[in-house]
Amino acid sequence: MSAAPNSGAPYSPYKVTGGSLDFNHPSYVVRQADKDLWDWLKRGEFCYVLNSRQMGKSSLRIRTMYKLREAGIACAEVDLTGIDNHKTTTPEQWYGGICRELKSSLELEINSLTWWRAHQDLAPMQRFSEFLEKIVLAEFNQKIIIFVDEIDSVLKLEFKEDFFALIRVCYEKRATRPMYRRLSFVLLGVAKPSDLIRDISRTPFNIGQAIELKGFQLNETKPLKEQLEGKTSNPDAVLREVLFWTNGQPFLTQKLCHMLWISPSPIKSGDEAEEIKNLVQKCVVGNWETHDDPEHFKTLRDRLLRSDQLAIRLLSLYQEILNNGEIETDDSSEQMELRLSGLVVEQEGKLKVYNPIYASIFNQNWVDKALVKLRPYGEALKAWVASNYQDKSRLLRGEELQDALTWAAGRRLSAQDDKFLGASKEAERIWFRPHWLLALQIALGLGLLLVPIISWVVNDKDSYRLQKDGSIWHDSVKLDNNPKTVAIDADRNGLYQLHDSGWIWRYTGTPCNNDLKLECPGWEKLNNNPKTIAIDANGNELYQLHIDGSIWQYTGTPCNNNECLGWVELGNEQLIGKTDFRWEFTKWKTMAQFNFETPEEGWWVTGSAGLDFDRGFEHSGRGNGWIRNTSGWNAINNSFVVEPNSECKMNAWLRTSDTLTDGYMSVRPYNSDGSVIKEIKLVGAGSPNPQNRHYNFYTFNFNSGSSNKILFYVGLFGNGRDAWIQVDDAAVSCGYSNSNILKSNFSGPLVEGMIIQLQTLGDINGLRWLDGRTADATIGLVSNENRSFSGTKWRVHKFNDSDIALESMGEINGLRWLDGKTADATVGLAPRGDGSFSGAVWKVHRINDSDIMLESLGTIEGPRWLDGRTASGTVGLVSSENRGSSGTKWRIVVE
Amino acid sequence: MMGRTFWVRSECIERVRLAFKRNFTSRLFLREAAGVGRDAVNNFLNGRPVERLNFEEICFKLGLDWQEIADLDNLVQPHGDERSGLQEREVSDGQDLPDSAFYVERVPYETQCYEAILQPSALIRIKAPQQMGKTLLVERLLKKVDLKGYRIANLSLKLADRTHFTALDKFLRWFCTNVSLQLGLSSQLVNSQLVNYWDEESMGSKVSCTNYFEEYLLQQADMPLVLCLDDVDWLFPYPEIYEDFFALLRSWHEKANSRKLWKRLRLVLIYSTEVYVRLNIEQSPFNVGTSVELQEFNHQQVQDLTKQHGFNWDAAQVEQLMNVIGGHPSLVQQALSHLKNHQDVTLDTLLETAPTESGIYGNHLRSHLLNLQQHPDLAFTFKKVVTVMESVRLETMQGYKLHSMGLVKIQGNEAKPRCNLYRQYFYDRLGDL
Repeated sequence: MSAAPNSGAPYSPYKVTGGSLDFNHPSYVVRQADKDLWDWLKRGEFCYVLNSRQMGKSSLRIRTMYKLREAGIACAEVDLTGIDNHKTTTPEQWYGGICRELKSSLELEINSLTWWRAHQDLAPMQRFSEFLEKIVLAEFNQKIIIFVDEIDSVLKLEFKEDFFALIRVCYEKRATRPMYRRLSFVLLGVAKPSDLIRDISRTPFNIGQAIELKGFQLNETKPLKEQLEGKTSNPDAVLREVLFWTNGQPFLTQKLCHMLWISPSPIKSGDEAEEIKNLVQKCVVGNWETHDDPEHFKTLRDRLLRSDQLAIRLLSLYQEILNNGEIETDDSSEQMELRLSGLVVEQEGKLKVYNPIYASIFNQNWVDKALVKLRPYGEALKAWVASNYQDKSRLLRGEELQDALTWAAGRRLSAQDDKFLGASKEAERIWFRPHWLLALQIALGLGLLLVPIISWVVNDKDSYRLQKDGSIWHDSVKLDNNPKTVAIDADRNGLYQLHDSGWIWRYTGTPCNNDLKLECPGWEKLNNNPKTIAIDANGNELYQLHIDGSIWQYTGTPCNNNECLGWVELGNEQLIGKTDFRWEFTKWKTMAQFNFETPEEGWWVTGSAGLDFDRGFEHSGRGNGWIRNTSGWNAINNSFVVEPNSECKMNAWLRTSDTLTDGYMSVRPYNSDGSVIKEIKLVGAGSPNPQNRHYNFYTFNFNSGSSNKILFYVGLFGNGRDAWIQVDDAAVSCGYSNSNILKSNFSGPLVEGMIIQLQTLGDINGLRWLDGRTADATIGLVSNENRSFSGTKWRVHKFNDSDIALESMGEINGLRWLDGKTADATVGLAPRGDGSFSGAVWKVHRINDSDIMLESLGTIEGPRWLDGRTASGTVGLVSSENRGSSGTKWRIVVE
Repeated sequence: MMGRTFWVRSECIERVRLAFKRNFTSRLFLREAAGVGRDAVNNFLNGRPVERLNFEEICFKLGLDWQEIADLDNLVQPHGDERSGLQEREVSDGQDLPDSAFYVERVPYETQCYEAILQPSALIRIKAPQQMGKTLLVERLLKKVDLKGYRIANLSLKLADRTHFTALDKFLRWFCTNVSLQLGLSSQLVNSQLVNYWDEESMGSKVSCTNYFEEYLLQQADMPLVLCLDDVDWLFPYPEIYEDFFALLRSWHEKANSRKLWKRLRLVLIYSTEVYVRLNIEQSPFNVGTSVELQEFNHQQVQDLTKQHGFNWDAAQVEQLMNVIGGHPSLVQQALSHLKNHQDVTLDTLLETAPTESGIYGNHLRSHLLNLQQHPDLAFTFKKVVTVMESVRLETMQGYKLHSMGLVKIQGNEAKPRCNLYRQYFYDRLGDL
């Protein structure tokens, strides 16, 4: 709306256009922070201003730099907003960019680009360090202070920690290299130090000085008051009212002052409170979304809601503050996060809502609505709370509950959520446990066993293990002894095994006898199809996967001799909603295992945690890990390496105390800003389990996504009571993803509309999968790992039995029809595949069931056989003489 | 009845050129194949008006669907003309195009923008739906600062084609090149200068771009440089590009606080939709500077326009017109031009047929309809808006889209048809959905 009060902004004496203030802006308010920063910098200290948005950080920087320069100190600024900082930015680019900015800011004569290129023999960080010493420090004789603003821009960079470590190194050099005493840094931004660097031995934040940036205090606001003289008869009273509403929040204070300044009717003496209240209600709070330009409140809101995992917890914490007026500060990461949003402020050891304006906009009603929206069961929870936790009909049941629990598993929720879900579970009388009954591959397994285990499976009450020799065990009871077994799985209905012959068996309850001649008669044959490669017992159903990708469901009829009729194939309709198969097949690989048998497994601890040996607390062997405390975050952490985008399972045996309210077993990307890949929450003691020394088996599946290094931890938040977790026998194994195992060679006819992938059979090793790049209408080959690219999928359109068009399924809009340009022997993408482009019509020549050659029917004479060049990853057309070459042969692969 | 000339929509020009390259080795062959003259082919490939039959014939030969690529809205000029300010638009039969000699000063936007742009390191954001008069406003603004000797680069992001949006470096190079060309530098010179200042490998694309501006472009003269970016919302579908690009613009704006040279840069950003992409506000150019949101003409402004056209209308007549088309700038101007050119037509008869395809807004309405038909979800939503007399609550994105197309007015989360003309026409045409 043009009615926004900032129209005509340039002429106001107040800062209402967003962004930072010029050093000589008439409404600049000098605060305690100005003095603090000045004093510490004069002493040569490293300083950092980490605070919420729109608190005047950059204005403070600009003014301080101006004053320092006046005092003869050289100042450089680097605004990281202007430096490349996406995921793929290299250290070379990043440090190179910073050098250029330093050069520009310090007005150095040198051509920094030439210098940077000339020193390529040094690694980027080393080169940057060299630049600081040989160029920057050498150029000036006086002190130099480097201001780095918008420091949170580095969060995405993988190598960010090195930068902060370097700052610390510069300080450490002061002891031996006096020239470094002339160099200081100031960092400004919206982040917690722990977001920026975790390594305590390298962090500069514990040797530097935090500058606290508070709101405007009444005694500091003379510049604001001066501008109001003449606009009102009692500027003091007016300003006092303004500060009442804003609590000195700089952006809002400036905005309100500006509104008063442009107001045509001066405020009468005595009416200040009333009139300013009306102004706030009418032009700030009421319909705030329409007045929020420059944006302020929306950003606050977004910051609160941005993390799917944390939003509910932050909102609940905020709600608590809103209801109680204040709460004790505890420096928990949630409280820090809430403070960084700017919505609350710490005053004398208490957290309060920053000001009455925020409290009116983000009021109880707003929080309620936001919470209802965030929770899939928001309405039900609201009604249940409204009934004073009595109305059981509001509790979740059946699938709804299962969905809610699955949703809740990756999140940190509020106590109210836990109470609600807990009550629902109780009502349903179900145990919350991972939805999937999973296998675990531990090569060594329990220390007591001689034969390695290859997998564990558990159902409601029992755990079974498959050992490498093919034997199957329930605790110490042997159930089978057949080396042909490759996988087992279990559910409430029973235990199943798969043989390498593809046969499937169900356990009938009779274990192996203990006679000299070992016999294991307790197995009933369910299937004898050699095509079977994997099984999945899922809830109450058993499924098998065939090498051709088809999925079959067991109907309950076992084999009668060799006649196995108890299976139906699932068509596409039946598979809808059943996308989460977890096949128990043989291709799992253990990526890491942690048996706690030596201190050298690479654990590091946060807070109160550690390793035990020979204490008698272990699940197996001699040692275990522990986490125990009454407050704060405590964890044992480790990491492991995986292939990106693989399907993995994380398992561990855990024993937990009944006082535990907030424990987690979690995997995260090792280098990240804290996003969670997957975690499970641990609350209270597990079920009694004397056979396993009261440890319980916890497991979850996850996909490693883009990460190749994963952080794994088990930890707990203290809750005032003594809570603990013991950990033992953890392992992670990864396998091929479902989509990979499901793909197999295709041998049927090409059907209209089917989606295929094409793999060139070129005899040189290299890239093989035909990839249509709709973004720029080109064609290339990609590797096996990248065959999940949407461009590698092609839809078949048939003209007749032999002629087809191929449409790329690339996600980016663009041309998409595979097009052979016979005129110049290239391929690309055409806008149409209806025959109007002759090159986009292809004749299919069958070599065998699954392999074909493709001939473009372009009208211009020239080479026309589609040829994949695995060595270079390119695709072109070759002439008829060469059509038999290996690259012209393509294998059809169907999902 | 269709207008007789069409031109390729600017966003389709790249597609058209690709199709041409794919099918023909020279323009001569296309001319021969389609049996049309040289001008027709040249105009076609450059997005300039082409006679309808020729247009369809050329499209056919290129294997393109003419309805998909034609700019059917004769009221909006193709980009090439808009940029150069040439007044060579062809009047289609029976259609009256507004005469730019009649111009109502957009109070207070014009003074606001002008005063703002004189400030060091100014940043002006102009937001309004299509056909609200943004282009005209900006043209007048640029003309004024041109007289003061400011350097001007006026660039529409629509002119970038999709391939430029695939990588940040590509886009920024395109951006620098075109800004430089706009400033009158030869492309040869630009290329050689870019080599000097650009090194993606050594310092990244953003810093290279800054380097080029700081070390070269801004150094070229001691005058302010006005960088006017139109169709900024064109970037919104490309997060890989816009996050960095917008952050870069903001960092330039901030640089002026401590570096004199950067005070020369004056930014004007123009867009037709709400900035719905989420940016870090401290790294966003949309959270600083002067914001201008163009509104429709008010009663007084319409009254002034009627006077300029030589009519002596009373308030009731103005009201009668505005009751149908509101203060929609281009519709108002079109009505007045028509009445002026056809003295036999009365306001009553004009308004009577207005909501039909035979009325003076036939083309305008049909082009909206065609557009809606290509986006069935929007059509469906808009149908709801025109069928209900009260305001309708819309899903946010759909609201933004309809608003940016100029079809609805938004208040809070509620939408209404922009004017009764739309309500009547689309109630009729979307009724079968």
